[in-house]
Amino acid sequence: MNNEEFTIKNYFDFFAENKLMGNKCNNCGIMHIPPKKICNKCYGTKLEWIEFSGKGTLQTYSLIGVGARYFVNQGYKIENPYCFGIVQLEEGPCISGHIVGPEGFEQNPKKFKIGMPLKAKFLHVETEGIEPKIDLGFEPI
Amino acid sequence: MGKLARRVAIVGAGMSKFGAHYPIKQNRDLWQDALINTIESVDHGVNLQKDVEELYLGNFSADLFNHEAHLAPLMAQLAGINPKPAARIEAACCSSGIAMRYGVLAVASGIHDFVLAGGIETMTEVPTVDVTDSLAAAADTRLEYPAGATFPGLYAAVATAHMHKYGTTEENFFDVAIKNYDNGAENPYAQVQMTIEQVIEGKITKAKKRGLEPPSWNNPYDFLRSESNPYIAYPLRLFDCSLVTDGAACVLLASEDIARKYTDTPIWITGTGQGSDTLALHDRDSLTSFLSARTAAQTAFKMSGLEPKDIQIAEVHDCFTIAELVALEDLGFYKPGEAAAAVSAGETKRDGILPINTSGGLKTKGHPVGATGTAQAVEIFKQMRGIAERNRQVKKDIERALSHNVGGSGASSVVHIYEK
Ligand SMILES: [Zn+2]
Repeated sequence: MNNEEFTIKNYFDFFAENKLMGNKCNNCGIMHIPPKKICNKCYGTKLEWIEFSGKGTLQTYSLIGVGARYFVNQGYKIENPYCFGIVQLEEGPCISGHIVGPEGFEQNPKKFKIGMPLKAKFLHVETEGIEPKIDLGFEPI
Repeated sequence: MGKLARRVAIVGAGMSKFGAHYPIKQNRDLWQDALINTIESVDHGVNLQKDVEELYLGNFSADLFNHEAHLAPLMAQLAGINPKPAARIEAACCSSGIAMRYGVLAVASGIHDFVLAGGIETMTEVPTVDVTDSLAAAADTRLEYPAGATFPGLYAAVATAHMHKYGTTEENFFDVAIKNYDNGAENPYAQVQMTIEQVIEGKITKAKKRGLEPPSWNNPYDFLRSESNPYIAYPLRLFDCSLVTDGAACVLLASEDIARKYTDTPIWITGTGQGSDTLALHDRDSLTSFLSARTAAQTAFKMSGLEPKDIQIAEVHDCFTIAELVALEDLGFYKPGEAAAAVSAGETKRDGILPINTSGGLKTKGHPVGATGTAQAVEIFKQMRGIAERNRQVKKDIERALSHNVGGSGASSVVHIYEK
């Protein structure tokens, strides 16, 4: 699969293998997640797939009460918010994720601290009206 | 490079009343209200059909809100300017700020002498969850949306980062809201024309009428800290968020060669700047400041030859209270992390040294996203001419003003500088 083209679909398809994949520029060494066809730093076009460890730290977050329809359909509401977060992966780049934890975790702002260590968790989502899919989540280590 | 080839002035500016108008008034109705208001603002009169050479129309998402996509020819028809060119410009919440910029550039280039730039958005036709989803389409729908991002959620993430980095508090956000409610109460075109005190009185009266124990809030902060002001996206509460609004606004732009045909007091646009940034918040170097806005501001200031300290009044993009603090810092009015203290000290009130959002801002005037940029210009036009309604005209002669309009969570921005 590592010969696959650097497309957004291929990035998401790796989730089914519990893999968080991006790519690395062979020229300047910078890493991208999701992968890009053109290096964001040196604009070279020779890049290779790499697997991210999934470990990182929380950069910022919000506990969202009035949610997107997709999350409302998953049962979240104003009394039962979910956490949107931005995570800096240990390899350097940042990515958005649904931050999850034990029961009641997402409803308690005191549980969240900028800088807290997290690891990737692939979330299998089945809700009304959409095909089952896998989303990128993170949970406390 | 970086200069307008000739001077461009606003010679007329107007808007519809902002509010929840659906189904009584829809896009085409509000647009005509804004046109009439604009025509009435032109001192020596204007004939749109004869004079306007092109329409630049800002609109974010009539596709999603109204199932209408090809808006500009219709709005041109209603202004009587077919078959002259008309196209829609989309840049999320700064669509019409950028429509105005393109109008300015066209006139400065010499292609046109007289153009109409406007903006329109009607958002109340669809249920709230669809409004939330449609606005979220301005974010990265592949990477941010599945993580739960909403428009308030992304600004809340900026707020969390700002609080962590600078010690900004929820009370600092309340200060912004209280000021903008005070200003909106003086604006007959605003969606909410009530101070926070009046909001509280209304809630107490309602509770008494229902025979309930009236709430015991002693001041606006008690109320804003209470459960009656729930978290929409922690740390942002209901009263930190702008409104869901229907509205339209326009400006008429004329070259220096013909501006005085329309008015003896043209408002010159002496600086225009625009910037972009990564669509996703997670790809940014800073989570507490918008590079696109800093870039737009630098370009506009350099073009006009002015500095932040020269600006006497500004309309800034307060889609959320945190956004007003970020704006004040990105524009160079205050150092990073220092805007909150200045707002608390009253510096940005109508009688302060730098009145901000005298219109009530997006917070209370309302935020029909695609109309917001030109509506900001309408307020600047009024304040610089000394004709702002009710009690909100600032008590000094305004020679130099600025407007700051941001798209999405800061991926697009546009800044204009105005001089008399
Ligand atoms: Zn490279």
